[in-house]
Amino acid sequence: MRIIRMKLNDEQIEALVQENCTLLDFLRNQLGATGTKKGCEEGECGACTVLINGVPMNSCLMLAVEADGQEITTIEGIARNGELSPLQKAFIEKWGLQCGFCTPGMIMSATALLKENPSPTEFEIREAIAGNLCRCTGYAKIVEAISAAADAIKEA
Amino acid sequence: MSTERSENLKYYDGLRKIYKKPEDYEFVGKSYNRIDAEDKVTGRAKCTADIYLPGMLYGKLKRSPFAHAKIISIDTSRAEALPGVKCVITGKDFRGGKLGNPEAFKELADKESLCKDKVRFVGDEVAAVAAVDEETAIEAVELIDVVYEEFPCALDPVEAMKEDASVIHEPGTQNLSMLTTMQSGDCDKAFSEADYTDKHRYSTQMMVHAALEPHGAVATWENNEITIWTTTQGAHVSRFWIAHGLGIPQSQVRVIKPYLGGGFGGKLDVFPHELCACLMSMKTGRPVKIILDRKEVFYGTRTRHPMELEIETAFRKDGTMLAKRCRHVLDGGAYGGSGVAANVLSLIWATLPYKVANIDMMARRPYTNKPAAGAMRGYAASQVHFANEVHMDEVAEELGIDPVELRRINACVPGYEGPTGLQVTSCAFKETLDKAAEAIGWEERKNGLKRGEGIGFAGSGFVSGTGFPVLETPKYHSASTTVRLNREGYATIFTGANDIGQGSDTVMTMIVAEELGLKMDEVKIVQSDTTLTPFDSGSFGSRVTFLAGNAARRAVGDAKLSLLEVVAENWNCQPEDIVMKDHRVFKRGDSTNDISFSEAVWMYEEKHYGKSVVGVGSFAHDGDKEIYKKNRGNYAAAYSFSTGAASVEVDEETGCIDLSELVLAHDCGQPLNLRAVEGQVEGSVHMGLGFALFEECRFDETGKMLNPTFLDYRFPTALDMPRIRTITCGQPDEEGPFGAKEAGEGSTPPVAPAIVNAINRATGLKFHDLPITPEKVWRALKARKAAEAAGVQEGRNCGKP
Amino acid sequence: MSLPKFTYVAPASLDEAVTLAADLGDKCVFIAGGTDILVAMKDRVITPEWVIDLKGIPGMDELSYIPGEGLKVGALAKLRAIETSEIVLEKYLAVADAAHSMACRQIRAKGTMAGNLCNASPCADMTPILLALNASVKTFRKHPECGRTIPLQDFFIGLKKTALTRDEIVTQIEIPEPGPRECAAYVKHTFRKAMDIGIVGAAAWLKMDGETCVDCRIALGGAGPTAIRAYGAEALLVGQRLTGALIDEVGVRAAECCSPRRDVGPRRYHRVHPEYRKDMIRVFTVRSIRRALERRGI
Repeated sequence: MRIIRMKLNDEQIEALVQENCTLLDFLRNQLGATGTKKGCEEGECGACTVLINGVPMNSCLMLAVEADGQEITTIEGIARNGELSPLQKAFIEKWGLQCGFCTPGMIMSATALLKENPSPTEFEIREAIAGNLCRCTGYAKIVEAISAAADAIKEA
Repeated sequence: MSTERSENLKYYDGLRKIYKKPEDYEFVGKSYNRIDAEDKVTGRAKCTADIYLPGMLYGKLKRSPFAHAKIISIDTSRAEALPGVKCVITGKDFRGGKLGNPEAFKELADKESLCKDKVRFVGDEVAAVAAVDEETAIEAVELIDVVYEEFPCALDPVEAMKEDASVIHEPGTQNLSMLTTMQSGDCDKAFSEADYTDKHRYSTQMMVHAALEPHGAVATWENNEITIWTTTQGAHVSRFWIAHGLGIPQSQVRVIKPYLGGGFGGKLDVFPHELCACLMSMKTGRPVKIILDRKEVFYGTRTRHPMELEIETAFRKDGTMLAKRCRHVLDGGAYGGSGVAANVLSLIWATLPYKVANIDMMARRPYTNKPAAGAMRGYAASQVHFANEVHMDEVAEELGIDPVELRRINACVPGYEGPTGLQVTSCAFKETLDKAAEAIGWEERKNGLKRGEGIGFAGSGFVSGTGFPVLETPKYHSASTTVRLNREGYATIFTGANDIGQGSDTVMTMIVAEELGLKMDEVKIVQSDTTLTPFDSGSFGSRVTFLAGNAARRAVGDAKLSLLEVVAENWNCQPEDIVMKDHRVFKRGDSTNDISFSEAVWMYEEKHYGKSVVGVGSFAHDGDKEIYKKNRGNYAAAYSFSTGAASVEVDEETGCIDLSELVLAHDCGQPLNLRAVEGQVEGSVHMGLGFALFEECRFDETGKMLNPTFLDYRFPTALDMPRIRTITCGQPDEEGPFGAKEAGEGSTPPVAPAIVNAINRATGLKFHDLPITPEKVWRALKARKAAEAAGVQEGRNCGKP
Repeated sequence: MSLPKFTYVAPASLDEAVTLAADLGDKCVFIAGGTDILVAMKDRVITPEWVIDLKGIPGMDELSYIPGEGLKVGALAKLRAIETSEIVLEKYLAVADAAHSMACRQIRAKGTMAGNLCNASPCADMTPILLALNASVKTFRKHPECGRTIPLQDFFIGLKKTALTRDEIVTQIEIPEPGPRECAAYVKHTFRKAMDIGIVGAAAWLKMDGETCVDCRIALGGAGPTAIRAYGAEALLVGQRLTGALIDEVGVRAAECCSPRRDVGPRRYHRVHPEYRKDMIRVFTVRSIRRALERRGI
């Protein structure tokens, strides 16, 4: 067991974790932050994507102890004061989801993309979400939603 | 078109007068959001794995390492001794019956909750453990000692039917799980009179659903009742089989489907992990959670039936199809479950979407020592339409008829009755052909395709709502719904329809909101909870929008009529003179009679001494068990039709195929929401593309799956998808809710054959076996080159100028 | 699957790390990004008692370019940092391409170039291009001498095996300064366009004098148990004027240089027939040379 300290969704937290606990299990089992989904546990589906210091990573391939001292953002930290982010709004309006299981991970990847590249091309969007598998949508409306969110952010 | 409507359909006709008129629609065909979208983009949406209960134990299953073996002994003592282990169970702990799917064919139920005497595939469940945490459960499973005596395994479906094959279930059955034949007309005569006859073989591979959410369950035994939150596509059917497997009455089982992370047919069956979670909760008095890991989902749940298809057809030289013979072999895997329906379905699909009077068809579903095959999106149709549509192009080429034209010549039309009794009502198949051909630019492009470029077409016909209710029900009805109107300004719908991601909760909510003139968020939905909602047979067979949607519309119609009768009496008019729109209830063309929804409900309750306005509705398809026993009759209330058109480029050096565009024209009647329809079609294209080019479960010679991971199974990523154009076709269907037909499944089968036909055109080759991997293309091109170099002329025209 | 139990240590210095490793021997494993190791542990392919995380060691995540010497990639530098680095994109585009071709963004944000090399998979994407660019690996160990520099072509000694000793850590990868008139490229053959392991990866480095190739290196992944140099193919190019016909011939020779066997190990379902793999070595060797020439730079 180890004590870790991290900033999770802007809040400083401290916790005792097992060394073999992944960040994903820590978030879900210990903190009840179940927005981050567990799809494959081997870094192949992207459903567990979170931001580590703003960079999207698979939380299933990170030990909780590795996250010590880092800044973590999960889907629960995307809306601010009850206000959905432009990406969240666009996913709703464009029907960029069906079952919704890949959605949190998709939004995390897309959030990082738009921060780094406010005007991505369709290809750049597809590349950014290539590690986020979706079995329902054929990705079409997800790509459309990310593109619409980019436009909305620029207009705001 | 058949004008005689049955008593069953007419039963609710009294509601038609007060149904909303198309000119008043506020939602149908318009844009509105999914009711669950905000939950899903914020991470609030709770799936089964997201449920944590106090004192909850974690369960894990012990699975067979052998494809076929006798269980000699199971010793659980070392596992039980491990600190943290609270319960270990084996097959002898279950007191109920075997698990299956259709109640009408209960004798086909063949799956033990945990195997007692033998195991039939690598991954078959033999024991289960509940422990304080997952890690301990995993460790304990390793400590269970099972002694097996290995049997030879039967992995190949054709070999499995041979006399000397290893017996998987019952001796003397040739390992057949199902055998179905269908005949009509005079095939031999038609063949003897035909200008053209042929015979071809096709095959398809094993595919899996690969929903992003793994299967799982959380069960708790309290107050002499089991409550199970589970990843199911049919809560009521699950309740039946869970009760059956546990040997307790259905009244003591409550099944709740939380948000479901995709199903595609893979969560239709009841699985051992669900039964084990229940039983271990009963034994420990604590909640038990079992979530399968990804590998278990791959090798231990359900697959799409691999099929071998032999097709013989007879045509006149003008392109008219006269007769069809076919022989299907479906690799059933180790068990029946929902997979038993595939056999008959495979033959029904062979009679769509083209007219054919003379048929002689047989389908066999042998068991093999592999994971059980079950229902999967475009159930059996994906395989059958692949073979038939690739075959259709070959006929077109032989007859010298344009492939689109050949399909037009034979296309089903409204009013057509198929050789097995299917009754086609609304049908815009020809329109889908024309629109797909136009959108892909067929006429302009067909003579100018460059080397390596190809365009291909494929059609499809599918049920818009299978009538089969799975369980035995009065009048064989398969959906019922309750709607209650509340004077505080909202309505509540209680529906058993299972939203598996496709958006059925949104559709049900919309239907109620539309009829009552309420906003979507003024309709509260209570769904897929067997204690709270009426019966619904589940999300399969493209039945939800049509059947559950009709039940919902009838339920809200029933409530609406009761309400409007009271209002009309007060206003001295007829219920049909009153409109409910925009939260108002008013007499059309009379501004003096205009009250709010709440006032109208108040008026009703005032008159009826506080009695609530409640409506009930149901949907029963015309038919009975006989259809499913005799395999003759009308399987569905309506049929959907579609055409796919693919444009591909083939890299002749590597064999890689680039699908640049896919057009899908789909006759879904009146679309209830265009974005929802497009979303379903785009998802269909994803799955169809995977089927055509990428996805295949592979096994070694001992029956072990070699690629049970997303990395190795390789379904398409965002970068692999083509540009998709969805075209909706057709007119509102007479019986569909607001005229709607299905959109989720029928659009899947044409995708793969359209791609394959495009590849065949691009390469001049004839591919008959899926998937078309780069190596397969490379090998075929190389073989042709070698043959050409050797100066050997190929017997058949390769189609390339 | 949850991870088996282990003890986690994050040493603060190389010295501490190798001392630990020397003590623990086979009981420990190093992780940098951990993207390969954690998967192997979840699958119970390896069950180390100790996990030594190198991330706490300062100064190893740097990417630096020293004119005249070349690029120094710290062992902890992430693949994503490499593929997006301005200096890499400017001077070593083929390296950026190879890094970019791997897995997906999330994995590349955690995985490292050094980890990819140490994993020693026959299909590792960084290996061919680094072999072609004549890279070397700098290591640290206590004895003998505080570490060494291993030319990359001596680094792989077998399937999943490197020349590293148990208590030796890769600290840096050194890629020489590209000279004028040099060009390089890496191309990869996969079935999916992302999230896929290469069937074949081919890297070419050429030094040109006008239309004549004065020196070259061709390296291939997926061609055998380790990535290899196609010396025979290289020999065909050196001193020759490059024509389409010659490049095609080089492809044929490259395919002859290697003898892909049936795939082994956990990924054996990938099994493409050796014949197909061999022909893809031909195709992708040609494509790597063509791309390098088109690019006229590294």
